[in-house]
Amino acid sequence: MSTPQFWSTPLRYLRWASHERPAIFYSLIIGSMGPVALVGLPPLRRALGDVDPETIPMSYPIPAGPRTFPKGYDDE
Amino acid sequence: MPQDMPPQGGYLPVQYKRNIPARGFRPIYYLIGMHLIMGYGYYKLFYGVREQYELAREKMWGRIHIMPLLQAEEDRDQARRYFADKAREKELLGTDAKIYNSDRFVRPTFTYTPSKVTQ
Amino acid sequence: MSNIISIIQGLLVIVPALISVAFVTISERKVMASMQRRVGPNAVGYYGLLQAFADALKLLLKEYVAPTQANIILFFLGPVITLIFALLGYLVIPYAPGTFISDHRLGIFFMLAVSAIATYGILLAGWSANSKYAFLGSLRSTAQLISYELILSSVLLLVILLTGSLNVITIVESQKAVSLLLPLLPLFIVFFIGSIAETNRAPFDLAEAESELVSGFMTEHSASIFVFFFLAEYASIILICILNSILFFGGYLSIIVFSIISLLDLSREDTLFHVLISIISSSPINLAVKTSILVFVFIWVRASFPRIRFDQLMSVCWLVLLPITIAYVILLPCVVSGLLINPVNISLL
Repeated sequence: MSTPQFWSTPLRYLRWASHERPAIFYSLIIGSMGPVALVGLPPLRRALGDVDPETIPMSYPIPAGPRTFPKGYDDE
Repeated sequence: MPQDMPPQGGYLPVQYKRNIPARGFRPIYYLIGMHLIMGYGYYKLFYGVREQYELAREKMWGRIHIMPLLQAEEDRDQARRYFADKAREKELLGTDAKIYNSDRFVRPTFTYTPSKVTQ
Repeated sequence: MSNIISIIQGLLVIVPALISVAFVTISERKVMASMQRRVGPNAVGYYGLLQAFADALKLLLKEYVAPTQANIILFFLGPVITLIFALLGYLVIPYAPGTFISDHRLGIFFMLAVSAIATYGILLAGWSANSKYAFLGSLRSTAQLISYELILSSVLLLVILLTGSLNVITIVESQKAVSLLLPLLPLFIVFFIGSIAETNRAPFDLAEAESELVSGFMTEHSASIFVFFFLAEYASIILICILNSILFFGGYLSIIVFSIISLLDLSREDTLFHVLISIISSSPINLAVKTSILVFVFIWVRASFPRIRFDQLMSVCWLVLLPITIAYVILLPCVVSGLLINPVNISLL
């Protein structure tokens, strides 16, 4: 039995690869689950009742409302 | 004495069956089990990191709230030292010495601190 | 005065490390003997405990022989480099809360860099001996170390991803919620295989395959410089076991106490009792027990598996371990950002 080709017999090739090249085959599966997790996990997490944590402040909060910037003190 | 004869009652039956150790589960079950353990790990890690997040937020808000107080304290200390320095200069020189050719306030680069703390 | 204190600090770490190297050799011989139904060394000292010191004394008293055609400077420099850089890795290890020589911000990078430099000692020593066995041994050893270092550093990348720090102490402390063994289970297995290969241990000891290469890169080294190689090998074994237990088993944190706290969900009640018990339970004994178990597994592996061929060694690295590692390098950041559990490093803010 010759080695199946991917393009002519994809399913048979996958079956052969999962038996003969398991490390690479399952690595591809696990790695391709990454983008799926990236898209699928946030809705799942929110559906299970998780709320996104509030952001950590890195500086003083900027007050909402009109602000007046002093003029004439900068190097013109 | 008869030699090279079979033992009394004949030889024991030859064991043809090999005692091969069990292979365990199929590999795919190990793969699934490993990822279930990983899932539990992430469940625990989730709450751990979220708590870390909350601690960091608390720390930053604490700093933001206490920073004006510390800054005011520092400024008060600087002003006190500045005027004390002025007074010492006046005592030594007799007049108000002007260091810079300008009336603008220049923050002193160096601060004089006494070697002995009196109070 | 501060110089003297720092010398004493260095000695306080290095002398116990060297003594533990001696006892690891004796424990290896004893464990392998009991696995092979032998007695093992039992003549020198009680239960053969002083055998390693007797061996070291014998080697140090021997006459050293340097090959005529050897490059003498590099021939002697190689073992020295290997030993020094194997011992330098001990500097950034936290043995207990607040018990370390250097709280380096990039401690993990430091360990990686130092263990990479130790490769040069092997390369220099093997090349300068001017013997084909030593040269082939050093080539094999260098190829092996460089290949497997890739795996180790990729796994470290994920540890850094989950802890958010390159500092060893922060990595240990951030495992209070859960040991990184659980979320990184397949990567621990990969890392452990990589660390066996990185220390040139059986079944990956191609560098000193006795039947092919006499003794590998240290064929021509004798007497005290052989002791240097010997010490460096076992010091790096203990170091990498400590690194394993720090990265995946929570270092000096007590696994029992913290898994009870984690299982009972006590960690979210920040009681004084919880804080006290986590302080009391963090001791160097935890690190010692975890490291000893891992060293035992190293010996167990050595006694169990046959040596593999060199091409198999390389294909295990590049075609099995590296795809698995890269698969998780793609998957785990996606999981982390999908769950929104990017770690924050508050100490740097």
